[in-house]
Amino acid sequence: MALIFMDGFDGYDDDADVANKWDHARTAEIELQSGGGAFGGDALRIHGTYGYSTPPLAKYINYRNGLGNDLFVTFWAKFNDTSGGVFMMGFGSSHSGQQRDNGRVAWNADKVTLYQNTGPAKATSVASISNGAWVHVSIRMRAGAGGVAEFEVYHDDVLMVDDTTNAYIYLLMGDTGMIHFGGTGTASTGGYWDIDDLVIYDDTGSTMNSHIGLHKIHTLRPTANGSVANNSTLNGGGSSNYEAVDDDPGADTATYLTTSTVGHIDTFEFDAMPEEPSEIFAVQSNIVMYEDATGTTPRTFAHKTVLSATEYDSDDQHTLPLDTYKARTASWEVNPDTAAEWTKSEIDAAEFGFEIKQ
Amino acid sequence: MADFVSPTVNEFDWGADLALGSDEPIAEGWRLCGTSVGGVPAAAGTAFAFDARANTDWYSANNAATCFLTTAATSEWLRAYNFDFASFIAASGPTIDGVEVLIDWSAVDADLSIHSLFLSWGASAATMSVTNKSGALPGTASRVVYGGPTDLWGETSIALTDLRTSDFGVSLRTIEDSGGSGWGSINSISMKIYWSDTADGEVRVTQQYVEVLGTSALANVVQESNRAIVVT
Repeated sequence: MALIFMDGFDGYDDDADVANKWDHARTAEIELQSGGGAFGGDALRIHGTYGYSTPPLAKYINYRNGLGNDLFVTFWAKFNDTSGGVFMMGFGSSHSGQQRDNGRVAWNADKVTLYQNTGPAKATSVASISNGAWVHVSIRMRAGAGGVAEFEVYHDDVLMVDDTTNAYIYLLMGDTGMIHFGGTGTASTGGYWDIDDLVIYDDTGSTMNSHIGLHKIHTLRPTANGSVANNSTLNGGGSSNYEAVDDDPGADTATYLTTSTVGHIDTFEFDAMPEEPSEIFAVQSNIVMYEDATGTTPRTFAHKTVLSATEYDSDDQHTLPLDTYKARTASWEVNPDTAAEWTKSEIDAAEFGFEIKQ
Repeated sequence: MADFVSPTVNEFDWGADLALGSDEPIAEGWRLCGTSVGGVPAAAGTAFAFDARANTDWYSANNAATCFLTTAATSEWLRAYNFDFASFIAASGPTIDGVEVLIDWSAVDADLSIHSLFLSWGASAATMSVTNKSGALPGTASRVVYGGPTDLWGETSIALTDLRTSDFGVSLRTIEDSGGSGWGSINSISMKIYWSDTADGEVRVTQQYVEVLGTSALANVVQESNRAIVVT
């Protein structure tokens, strides 16, 4: 598994926070459901009109020449529609139109249906997913011959529908392939669905290159300053740097850290995991930050973890967004200190933070 | 922009020909520059020249730098430096917009004025600001700010290399120019640098959280089990 993106939707406080991370087509049709998540946390509600949203993929799904690797999109879903159905996920090449310019997966009249472009349905499940209950959905875009994609949709780890006869990704797509969630191609019918614990990954990793099965995302917040120097300046109250970043963004941006110095580091201790999964697939650091508008040379930063007193930077170093808060993520699929799968005790002892690199 | 900061040097660096008036130390970071030290200009922007007059020494008293001037006398140079600006102003990127100097006059007689008040980043005419903030003194104990947020003291610009050197600071002399005599004492000198950073902006961080992806125990999940049974 090579993790591309995940979101447990529990790091947000309100709709504005979600918009710091996701790119909504129509903000009014995307709602954070506080306390309405699959595991008691929050979930994202997408209305079935044109209210689709696009996650901030760390790397675009480049399928100009077709899909080169199997791509997995797995999440928990709860459908709440009685008439027109909803689209769960679709491919697009831009954010200006509906998500119908390539393959789509829809839920309609309890069935899961596969669409190719704007054409008619190509395949529909025999099994059903009913309204109003959380279910686990896993969509696999299998890289077929010539780079075309073949859809497989799993419900609670059981294959519902697939189609190997149609190409759901075309060679005409641009470089910037996007994955959209939600929306319909018709006028609103009042339907909506909730999505939680979204994971996007491909099969280019060293392990877990197929379905990861029923999964759960745990969200942890800072509880203390870390052992590495906390160089940034605390603003807006509190006595320790971690207090500026342990809250939800948006409403709580009154507390924040500032620095203008390359090399400044802040690391923090985090909550212990409330339970121990039988397997841990990845750890993702999320930081909400920006650079003020006076800069002409964009600053960059690295996510950082401290394990057994050793600092490890994320592979990707992000350029800071300007002017407004945006969330930036980095993930470690294995513990960089051991090069092996993470364990709960290792995560409980780990520090996470950031370093200004430029 | 920084708050006012004070010198932080941990040693005294007296001019070789100066005598202390008492055993009480002047606040750390002060430097008294006498004419015999060399390199101390009579005025900024002019050729170096020793002052022909026998200038009056500063000495320490009650934790202040003090100088008593008789009629028409001028003090030696008093120099405050080593403000450690390098610790919080980057070596590249910032543009210095202005400099303020706050002088805490603990006592000053009405007969005294400022003969010279320059920014300085060395001990020569070439390392002092063009503008001289000379002028009347308040005549009583008070804190006076010289310069301002956009005041470069006559310089076209202030180089970061000059600002970040330990020599960057203030050099001043007092003068008795009213026909009498009097004391001038300084408790402290502090500085505030105004700058804008056109190369690199300030980073602001408001939240960090970590997400861990693992298997689900399903204990808290209401499962939907409506699956088709195909009979063959």
